[in-house]
Amino acid sequence: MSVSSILNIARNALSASQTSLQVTSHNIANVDTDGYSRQEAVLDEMVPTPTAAGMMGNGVTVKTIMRYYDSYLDTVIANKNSDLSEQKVNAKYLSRIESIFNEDNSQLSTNITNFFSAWHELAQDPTSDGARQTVASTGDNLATVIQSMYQDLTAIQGEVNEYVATDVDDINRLTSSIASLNNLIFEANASGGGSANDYMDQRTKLVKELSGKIGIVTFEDSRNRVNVLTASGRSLVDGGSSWDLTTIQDKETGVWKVGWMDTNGKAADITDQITGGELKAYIDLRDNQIGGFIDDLDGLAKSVIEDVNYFHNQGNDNAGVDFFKPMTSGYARDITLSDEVKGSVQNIMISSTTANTTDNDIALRIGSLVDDNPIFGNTISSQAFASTSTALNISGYLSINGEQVAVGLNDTLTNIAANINAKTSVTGVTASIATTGSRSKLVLTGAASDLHVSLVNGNLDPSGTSLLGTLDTLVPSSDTTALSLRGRIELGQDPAALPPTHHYVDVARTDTLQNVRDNINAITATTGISATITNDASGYHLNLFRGVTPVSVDGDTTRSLGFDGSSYVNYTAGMVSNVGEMSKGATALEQYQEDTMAGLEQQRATVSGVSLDDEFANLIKFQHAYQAAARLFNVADELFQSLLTNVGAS
Amino acid sequence: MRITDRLRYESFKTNLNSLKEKIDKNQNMTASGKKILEPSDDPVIAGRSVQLQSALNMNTQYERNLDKLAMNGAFYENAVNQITNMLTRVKELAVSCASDNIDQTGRTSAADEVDGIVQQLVTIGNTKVAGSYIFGGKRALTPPFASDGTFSGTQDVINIAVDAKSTISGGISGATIFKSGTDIFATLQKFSTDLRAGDKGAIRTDMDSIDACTDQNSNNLAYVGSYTKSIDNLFDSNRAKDLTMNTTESDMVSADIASLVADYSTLSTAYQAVLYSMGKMQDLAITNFLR
Repeated sequence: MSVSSILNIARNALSASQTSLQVTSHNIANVDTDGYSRQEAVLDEMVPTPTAAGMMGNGVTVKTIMRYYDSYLDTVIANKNSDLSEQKVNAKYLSRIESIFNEDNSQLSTNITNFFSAWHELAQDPTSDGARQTVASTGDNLATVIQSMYQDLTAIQGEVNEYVATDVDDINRLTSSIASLNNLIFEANASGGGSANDYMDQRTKLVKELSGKIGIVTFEDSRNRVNVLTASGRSLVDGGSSWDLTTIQDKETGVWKVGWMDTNGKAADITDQITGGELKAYIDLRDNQIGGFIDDLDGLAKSVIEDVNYFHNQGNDNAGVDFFKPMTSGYARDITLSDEVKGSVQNIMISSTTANTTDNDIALRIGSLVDDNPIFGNTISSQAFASTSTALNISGYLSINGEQVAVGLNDTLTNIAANINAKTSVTGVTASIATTGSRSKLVLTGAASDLHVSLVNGNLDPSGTSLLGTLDTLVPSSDTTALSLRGRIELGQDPAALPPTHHYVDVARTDTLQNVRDNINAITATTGISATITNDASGYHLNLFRGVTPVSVDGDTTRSLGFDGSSYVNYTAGMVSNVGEMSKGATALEQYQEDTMAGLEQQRATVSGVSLDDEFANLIKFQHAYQAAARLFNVADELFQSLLTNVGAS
Repeated sequence: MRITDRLRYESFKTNLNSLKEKIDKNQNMTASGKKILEPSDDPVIAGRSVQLQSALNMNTQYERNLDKLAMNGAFYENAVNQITNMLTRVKELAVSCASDNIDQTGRTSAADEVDGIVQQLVTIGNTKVAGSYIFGGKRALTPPFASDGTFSGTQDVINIAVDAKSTISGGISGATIFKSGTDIFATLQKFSTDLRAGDKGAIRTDMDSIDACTDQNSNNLAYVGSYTKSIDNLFDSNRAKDLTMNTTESDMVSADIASLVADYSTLSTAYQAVLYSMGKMQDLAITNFLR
């Protein structure tokens, strides 16, 4: 114990106060810094000196500079940021897609009704050239609207695609920054200088930003280094080294895929394994959602082109003139009027015969398409039956996407559904029963947007002894009105031929039972099957014979499995509803995530945030302590003075 | 719970922004008069609104179709009335020529008049309205009646859509008016020949034929009458449908302006309150109290 120890104490106190003041100033300066955790100099007693009188204290020292943070909260916030960023991207783009489909902007269903109205106008005024012109121009408008919606959708798709590539670059930048911060922190810790608080703040911030881009899992090792992996287990940051993601572009489609580079420089495709963050939203939007909308639009365009052309081709004694340019793919992208119609509106067909110059049956039929249900999409439902467990008395085959599923006389709706589901792995089509009230329907859902189901009669047995029942599934009340069924009647194969030839008759919506009979009879020479029509109380029956042998009718044939699709307008309305539903959901989810995130940030701020009131109080506190310590110097100095002046002076 | 400064400002900004969003949406709804601006506002109603709007559009087209039919209907009525008058005249001629009070010159001039009437009937049969011959059936580009009464149109007439999945005949064929049952032209031509021949017996037989024509014509008149009446009925139901659909649409989609304006004043009060309270909080900063 000496005067110099008092000086020491004073000096230590001063130094401690200065450090505290500096830390407080650092806090004040960073009051608005995002991701900053407030720091505090932790003061502790210096090691006491043992004396005869007991342990003598030696003043104060700054033990460490502590950072206030909650690592659990930081992890939760980072995870929440993944969800939030993903929803933000979803909400933003779905809102843009929604405005493409918004009827006020696109006028799609207005154009559809205008087009078919024009056909009705032409039908009631077959001699008018003006009406022809209107048909051509409304058709053109409809094609333009569909094309421009397609362009808008693919433009968004392209934009999202580019963001995938940009995001991967961002991710690489972030992972290498995190890795270098890991190194800095490691070195700071290793050199014993205490924890590197500011580096750790920066790193937390970068980890949060990274999790916004891609879903990650983090853990801190014993050396305070944060290791980052993608949620599916690929390492992104391992201690001081980082692993890059790369992008691989498909040359044909321009689509960017995300790859992970391993030590050998080979890239593994991880596009499907990304579970969160903006990257997932971009990939999902690009590949699934926008792709789905484009498919829907394509389905509409395909149906319009094919249905209108189907009837138009029958005009003027089946002259085969198309109204829309026929195509086999890219319907929404390329839909346009045919060259014939563009060349002259006189090529627009109104009458089915050239003799009846002002007959309007073709125009009327096309105009009436607006009320038809031509679009099947990827769900077809049958007519409603009263029970799922009583035998339907229908026999034949359902040809589903090329695969045959037998339907027997004793089969109930439930059995039929089960039989269809047994072949789902081959056809991709699943069957379910939908019950409303007391009636049930068979609903078929396909994976692709084009589900092809046709009604089929029994199979050919080459020996000629098997039964070819009537076409049990068709029993209309008239043989001269359109059956409104579309499908194919399989007349079996000729196994003797090489390759085995496939015989069939296509049934179109406008075909009457008489047409079907005539079509079957047209190929009797090759199939050996002929058809006649008989009439009884239950309706008209189509009877099939092999040779001259009449075939007995099996059971009650009053039921049919009629399938209905959806009208153009309903299909369009469905698209609008669908987009609206998705956008609404995304916005709601985004709002929810934002609110939750705000709550979490609030909790974090409670722990780590800087409150100016606190810091200013601390400033005053440490200022006084500094003043007191300075005063201590004075006292020690006076003591020295007394000692030096009084002791040893002569 | 510690409230930090940054947090205070952030939540102020968030609150202000969300109020501004609501005010903006309110103003958009007031300006457009619709409560559904985007499909996501109410997806189900948005879809139904599309369907309703399309049904309304098609209904307008069907109304136009009915207009055309009504116009043609008037011409048909006119034509059949004229035929009635002419047949009456022919009957008069037949009665006077069948008696013995008239000589051959009288009969010859009657025959001339009958020939004239035949030509008038041909002209009626070739009535052309807006570029198409209304009695031609499915061949309305060329005159269906030759001067000798031969009909080159079709008995079938075109169908016109008057409602979804509903069509009616778009006209009446000349064959139905002039040639079904009794052939009016053949009857009159024979009458004219018999007049010139002065064959009183034949003329009396012709009178029966003329009566048959008159009967048929009054049937036709009734038919045309009911045809035009049915068009009127269709008009009524078309307009009723229009009204119902318009009302439904307006209920579904139109905004209630009064409640929007009330909402706006609530929102703007809240907005001002937030601004005011933030301003007041500025004065409570510790820096104001330290020397």
